Amino acid sequence: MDMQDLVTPTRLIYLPKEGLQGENIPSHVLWQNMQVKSVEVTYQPPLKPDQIFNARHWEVKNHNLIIKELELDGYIGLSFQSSKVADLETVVSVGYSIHLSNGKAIKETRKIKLFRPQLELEMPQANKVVIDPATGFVKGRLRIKNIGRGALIVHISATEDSQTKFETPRDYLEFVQKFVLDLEQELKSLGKEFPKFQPLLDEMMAWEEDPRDFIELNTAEREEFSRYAEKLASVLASDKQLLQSFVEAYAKALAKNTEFIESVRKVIQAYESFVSKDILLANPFDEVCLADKKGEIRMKILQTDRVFDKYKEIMLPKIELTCSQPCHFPIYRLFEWR
Amino acid sequence: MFSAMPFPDLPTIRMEVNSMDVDKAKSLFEVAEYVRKLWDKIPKTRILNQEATINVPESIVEYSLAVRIPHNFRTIRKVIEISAPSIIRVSASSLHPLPRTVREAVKKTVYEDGRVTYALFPELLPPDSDLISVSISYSIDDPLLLDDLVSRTKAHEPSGTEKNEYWMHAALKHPKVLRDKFGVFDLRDVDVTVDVGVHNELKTTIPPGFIRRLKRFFAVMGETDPRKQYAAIPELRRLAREKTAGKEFKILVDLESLFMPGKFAKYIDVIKDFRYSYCYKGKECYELPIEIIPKKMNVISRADLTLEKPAADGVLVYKNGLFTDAVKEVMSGA
Repeated sequence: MDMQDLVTPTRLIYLPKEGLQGENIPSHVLWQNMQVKSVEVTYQPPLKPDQIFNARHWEVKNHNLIIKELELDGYIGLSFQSSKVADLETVVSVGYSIHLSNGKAIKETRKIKLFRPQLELEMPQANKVVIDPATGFVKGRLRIKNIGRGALIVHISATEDSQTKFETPRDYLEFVQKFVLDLEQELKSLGKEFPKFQPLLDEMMAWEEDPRDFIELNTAEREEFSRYAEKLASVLASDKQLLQSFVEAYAKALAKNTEFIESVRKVIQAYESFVSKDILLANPFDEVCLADKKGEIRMKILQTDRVFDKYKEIMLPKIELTCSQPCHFPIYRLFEWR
Repeated sequence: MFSAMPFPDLPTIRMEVNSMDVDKAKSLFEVAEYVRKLWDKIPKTRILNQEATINVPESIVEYSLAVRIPHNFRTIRKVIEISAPSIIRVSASSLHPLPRTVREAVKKTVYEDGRVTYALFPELLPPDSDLISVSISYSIDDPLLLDDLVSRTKAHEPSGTEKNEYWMHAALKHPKVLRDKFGVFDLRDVDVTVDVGVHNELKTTIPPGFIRRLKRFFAVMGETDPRKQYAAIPELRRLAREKTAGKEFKILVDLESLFMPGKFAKYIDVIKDFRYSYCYKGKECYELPIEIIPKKMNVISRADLTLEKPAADGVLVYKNGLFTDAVKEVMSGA
């Protein structure tokens, strides 16, 4: 360290430049060789302070956070909660004022762009779709596009009153059942090897066994899942041996249920389920079951994003399906993913 | 390791942690407090400073005390016994007048009931030593302790001009408590796990023709009607003339190997306060893992936090262009 560094006042303000609307945005102020009396942070919606670290007394008034007393000198940590807004992108300014004991103040501004995804759908002409059973070609597909930024995870299902239903292929369901059973066995041995992680392994199993699609969970359950997912990643990263054993447990459970030929088939299915750059289909293996040459279908689309926020459910108008014979085809074929 | 043996019949400082305290001793503060109180009870010694370092991946705390000892220390105390279930190592050093480790001064004893104690024998310290350091390593049993100490956040979506950067952040929540408890406190290798989406590179780089060929092979293999199998021969002949025909197995194996931690690490750069640690195949929360081509990789990066630098920020750069080139090379069958 240079001698000059010991006396030169320095400050460092951190705020990420971009973020997904709905995620926690961190910020901090670090300083050295300055007599700081208080720190003021001015922000705008959709940001609001969530947690403040190293502050003894603070107050929040009119989008102004005033930290009047610090616990230790040299540091303030912050966490902002952000939320969804109507605009797909919004730029928010955050002002930092460091008030010094000599009456002077250092003022700096940082900006963050907050974005979100948004689904856009275009119905087929006259709401009619024709399927060629020989080629699997679908004429008159619904156009679907993410016009915002960030991934959208969508789950498409037939409504209860829909004449045409969706079905998950039986071999896939059997695979899931056997996989979950074998995984349970693997995790049991893991629990014996790592008893302190048993509660987390129990939680993991409970989520794996939950027959519902993740996207069908309510807000409280999603938050619970989100906490669990963060916890799992954190615990895995904190113990090398556990991480290795965890990866092996999944691999073993998969290997027990998957011949190589099956793995290759899954590559094909996985490739086809990568429907679009910014849209992920949560149920890519589900199929439309057209029981006759003609049928009507009503679909609903549930959506979420990378922070598991809930989006408005989309109910689609009735669509007429026509095929020269009864057929099954993957639901993603009904859409033109753009 | 020493087998169980009785200590000489001399004055012994012993502070056992009772069953409730034993539970507490597993956490971060209690073992350190137990050791500090043990020294506080020894007359005429003075703790000059203390420091703690948590090694996050190993879940181990290294706690050290610097203690001023009186000249007659070797005669007034014969044995100082340190015992708590989570303690895995105890060592002592003389700091003054000459710094040196005094391994022989600490002896580990395992009793028949499995209890382990560490005994520090003052008489084995250098005769002229007036300042010693005692270091205790103990494990933390609470896998969620780190969340109580550190706020960790990460970008869920990439940003930057090429949309391939993920920010990461870690900050101490209660630095004052740590300073009050330990004086000097270091947190080594705090982890943040970022989900790096890879499906787009796979979707845009794996040629649809390759997938069509695989699908057609499967369709013909699954066909039980010999007439239909015969009818498929011209198409199979045509497919067999395609550039990478016959190399499907090699291509899939090579593709899968791109996601091995050692290989995928080449496509990750971690800058600023964080550094790359490890990666593994991730799975979306709504699906079972796909063993050959995952949709995302979980990348663990690490940073150190101290009371002098209680916050760290970093950027994970996913070199998607290079990764796309690697997928292209695999798909060429070379």
